[in-house]
Amino acid sequence: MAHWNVGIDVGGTFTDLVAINEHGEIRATKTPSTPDQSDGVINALARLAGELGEDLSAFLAGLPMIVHGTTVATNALLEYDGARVGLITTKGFRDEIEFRRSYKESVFDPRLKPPHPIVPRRSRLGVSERVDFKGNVLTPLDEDEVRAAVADLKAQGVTSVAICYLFSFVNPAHERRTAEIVREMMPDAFLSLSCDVLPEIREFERVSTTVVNAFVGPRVHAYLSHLESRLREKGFGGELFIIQSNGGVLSADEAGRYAVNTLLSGPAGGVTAGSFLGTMSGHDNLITVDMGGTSYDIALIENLRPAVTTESWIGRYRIALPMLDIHTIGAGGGSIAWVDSGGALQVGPASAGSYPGPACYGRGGTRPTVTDANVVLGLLNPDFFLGGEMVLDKAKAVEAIRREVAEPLGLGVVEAASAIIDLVNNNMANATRLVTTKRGHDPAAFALVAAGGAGGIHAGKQAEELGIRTVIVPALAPVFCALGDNVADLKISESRTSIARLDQLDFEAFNEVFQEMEARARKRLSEQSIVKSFETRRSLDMHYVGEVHEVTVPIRSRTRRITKLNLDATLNDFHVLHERLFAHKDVKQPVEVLTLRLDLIGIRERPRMNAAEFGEEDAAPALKGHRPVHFAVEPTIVPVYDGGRLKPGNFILGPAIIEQWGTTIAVYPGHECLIDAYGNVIVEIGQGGAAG
Amino acid sequence: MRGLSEIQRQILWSRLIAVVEEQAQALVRTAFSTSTREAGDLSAGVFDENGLMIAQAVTGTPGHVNSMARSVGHFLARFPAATMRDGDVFVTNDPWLGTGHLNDIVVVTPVFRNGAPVAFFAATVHVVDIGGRGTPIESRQVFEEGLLVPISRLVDAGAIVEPLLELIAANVRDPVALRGDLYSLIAGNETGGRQLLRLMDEYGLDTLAEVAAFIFERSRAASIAAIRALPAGRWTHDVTADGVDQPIRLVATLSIGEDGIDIDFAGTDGPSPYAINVPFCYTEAYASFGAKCVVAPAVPNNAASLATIRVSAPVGSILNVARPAPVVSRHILGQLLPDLVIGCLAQVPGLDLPAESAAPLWPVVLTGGPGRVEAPAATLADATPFVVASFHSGGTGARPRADGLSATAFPSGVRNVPVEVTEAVSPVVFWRKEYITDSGGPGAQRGGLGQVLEIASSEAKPFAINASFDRTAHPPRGRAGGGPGGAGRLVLDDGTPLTGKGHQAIPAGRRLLLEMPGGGGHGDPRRRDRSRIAEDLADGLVSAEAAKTVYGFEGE
Repeated sequence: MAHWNVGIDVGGTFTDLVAINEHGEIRATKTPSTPDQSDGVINALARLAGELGEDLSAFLAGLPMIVHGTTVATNALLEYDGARVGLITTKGFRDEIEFRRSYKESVFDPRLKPPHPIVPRRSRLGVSERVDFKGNVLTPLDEDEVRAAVADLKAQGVTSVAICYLFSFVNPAHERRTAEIVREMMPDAFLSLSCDVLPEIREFERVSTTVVNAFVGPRVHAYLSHLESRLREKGFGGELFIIQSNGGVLSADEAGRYAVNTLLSGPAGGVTAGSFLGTMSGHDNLITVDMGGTSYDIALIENLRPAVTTESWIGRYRIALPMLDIHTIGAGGGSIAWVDSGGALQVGPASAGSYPGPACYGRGGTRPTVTDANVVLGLLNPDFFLGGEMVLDKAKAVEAIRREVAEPLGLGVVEAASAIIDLVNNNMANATRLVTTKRGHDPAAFALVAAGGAGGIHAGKQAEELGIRTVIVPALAPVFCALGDNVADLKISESRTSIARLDQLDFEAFNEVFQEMEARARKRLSEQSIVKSFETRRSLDMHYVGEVHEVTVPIRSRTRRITKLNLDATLNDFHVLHERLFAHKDVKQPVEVLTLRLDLIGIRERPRMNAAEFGEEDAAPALKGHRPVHFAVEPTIVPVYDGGRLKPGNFILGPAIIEQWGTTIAVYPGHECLIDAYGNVIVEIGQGGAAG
Repeated sequence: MRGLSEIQRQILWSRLIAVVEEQAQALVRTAFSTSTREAGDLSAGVFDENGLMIAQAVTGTPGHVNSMARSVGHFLARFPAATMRDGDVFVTNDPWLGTGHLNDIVVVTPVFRNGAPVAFFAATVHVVDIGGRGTPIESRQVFEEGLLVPISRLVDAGAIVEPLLELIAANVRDPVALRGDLYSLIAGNETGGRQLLRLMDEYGLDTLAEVAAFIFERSRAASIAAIRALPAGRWTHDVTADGVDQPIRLVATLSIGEDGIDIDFAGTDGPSPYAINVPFCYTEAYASFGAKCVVAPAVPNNAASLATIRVSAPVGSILNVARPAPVVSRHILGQLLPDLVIGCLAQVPGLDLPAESAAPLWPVVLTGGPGRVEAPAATLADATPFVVASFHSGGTGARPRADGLSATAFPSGVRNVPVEVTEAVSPVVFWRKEYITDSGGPGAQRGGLGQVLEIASSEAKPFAINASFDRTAHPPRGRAGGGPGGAGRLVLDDGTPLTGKGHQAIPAGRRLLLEMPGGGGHGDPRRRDRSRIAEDLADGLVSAEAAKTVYGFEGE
């Protein structure tokens, strides 16, 4: 019997599953997501077992592992449906979480409302204690006050306690002692210590991250235990893993402890899959975009490593942990087209979602959407949506666009539909360009990976607008995140602030901090059975003395100890990177280290992917017909190919349409495409096919 | 040139906005100054061949909105387009022609196509130091506030005008940072210019005239439609600021007409001998922002949308001060203007608007060490020299249907520096940074709370504060029956009062308390939802005493 690896990603609409066995055989399914996410997970597994002709419990019994991407943490935070949290903090500083460093989401809105407090002030209690920036105790911890605070929180019904003191990243003793007292008095409480969650300088960032961990932690923990016990009941004997916001996976147990790390558990899979695809296709620099029903996610991959940021806000809370840098805008198949009061056409950010969804879904939606426009233009086949599982009503799409866009603007229906598509393409391209230039790059130097159900239709136009020459539509585009769950390595990101000027560094102490971090990370990974080997990546957050922002610079040492030689090379890299990011450097200026970072990667066996031999160039055997498509106002009759029957080596000259399970790919006039050895569709963009 | 379709014009408009966003992003990324990077204290925009602003990036400071929009016109008056060459870049920090004080530097770059300028890019950043006294209040003439660079050629057909750069560098305390900021401005405009030319290539455009006309027509129509939705009329409102030696009264009269809004500041006090005077460009920026954020916030900023809000102030008044008045702290009165304008608009039937905010930022500038504190030289001999600055704020006014934001600035959008960072770079210790109970103006919707900072020297040495704080005698007022927010206050821990403005010493061993104002309340506090009063009480935002006497709360 074959041994399968399974990745399951729960999205807003669908629960996606990708399974790969040791022979390189791949299966993918899509089932509707459910309010209790574990139902969707079980349904997806049952469906896979069914397709394989196996009984679910027999199948689960033979399954060594499941990697899971879940939105439980995200939903808890965005819907403010988390634990009853209490915060114990330094006396005089209990309001930091709400001060937010005076940040406003909208600078110019005089009606902006205050954020919902995930820990109300009555549950934020200050205690006498104070440590200075060198770790010296200015005021000893008053344990009686701690006890009184814990008693108060307990009486309030708090079930999750966050502890965050000033400068605990230098001297965590007061936080640790407080935790002991909490454990004594509230043995069942979930605990979140800032010296564990984020031992870094900047109190607002630290307290916000620690409190969010306390808020979502119990929910995530409960969900994972619930899922695991349901799987066990059904016979699952393997191990459950969760993909985290940094793109690495961890066992459910470990993931539950630092639940704040799972806030991007869903989209992280897609970016990870992007790196994997880059390895397969020989592209080191990629922009991955995922276009679904409501949103468009953009992420950058440089040298096969996804870009990471510590600058995230999720909802109205700041998460300063390293997370994949995924930028989201409100543009998707369900984005609604509307004419504003000034008579201008707009698309999004409002979405018809999946219910009622676009007008053509025929579920009562009357507002025209991007999907409706694609149907009207012939880019989408109404009879082949989700591989024919759903039939779209073109007449309803025409009617919605005619009534809400064409007539108000005095345009024909086709012109209006094409205007909607031009606008949404433009919105997505503008956002992608800004994401790229923000990191000091030109999008033209990247290949575009288009995932998600709607990605393949729009990618060619995106590439034209961004000057990109290659688009890759992965064979598993509609379930790309679940593919990422299959290929992601294990990863623990550790950090510790330890401020020192580089020219005055105490190497002994410096190496000691790295060793402590590595020991801690190894301990957490030691239980993880699937690790084949380890890789340690160390980096430093550095800046010129006096600067307020840092650059994260990798240390190029492979040995355990860091020497002066390593640091000289790192310093050199710092100047270069500083210049690339900020356009200037100053080699005479003293440089300071702020935070030490260590990623411990537990490398797992890559799933086998079978590369097929290239056959005929001629794609005619996969041709399933012709249909008119409006690439311009006048329709062109273009060939339509069945993606399921295309073979590696097939070559198609645009214009053409490829319809495959879960997605449609538009090959625009002037573009040409090749099916690669893994079934990915590689589109090359001709020069000069631009707007105008 | 063939005509563009409606949708193509609209896409071009959004592409132009994306181009200036990219220009601004390049600036944020490459600028040296903290306020640009952390606080978005910058602006960036593209202008048509006549110097009219077509698009502006959405950045952190309303103070640059209109002032920068006007500045390109001043550059063209000094250097007509016909005299410009490809590769030229121009600069000024003239407070009256730029954005209101010497620390704001404006750089303008023409973009050439077929041998003639087809557009201009302009950008502004705030530099930390521009020479001069470096104090917020004490200067009596602009000459004491640093170096003034008249509108000049900074780059001549691609070659940096080194003598000018050297002159500037020789007059400031941190020449490396200043050069860096200038290069960053030049580079940001260059980025914008390059993207614009690429865009014009893509659409086969020789000029921006057609798209500019489209943008102006659409923006004007949308702005006028929003204004005409309001009843016509005339409303007057006033506000009193602490001032330095005496209170300053600002008066605004706002008229809504068929073709726009007029705001006039007749009746406003005359100039101050201290550096709180406001050049007109800055008055115009904040006044028009105050009206626009209420009336037509969704219409992008450009020459046409801004032209529907006309601002005037009597020549020689404190809001239209003549040279060579000192102006470095023009933000104190400038940042009060949105509340003043909103105070006029709140009288318009049908408009329900927020109460007054703490408004002017509280820049906490601390100094220490020999020569930086008024204290006997002997006590300072071994004190660590330092200067640290962070922008803090009181609360915003209550919204008609929500409480105000606590300890968050309006109209500014500046972020502050963490306590841990400040303590790591200077010998100070913060002992408290928290809400002030009862500082949020009472109301059916409560004003945002003010905060208190309690600061000491970690060396037990004297240190000093450069105070430029307002709203200590005139707290933010409530609206629609709501009460005022708490007043600002500076005091030592032994009760010794300090004043809101000027350089003042904190003796060795003493702590400084800075209490920032709360926002005004909205609606009658006795009509506040009882459960929300109970919550405020449980949270210590409102005292039992105030709950009872002000809110009439006797328990749920």
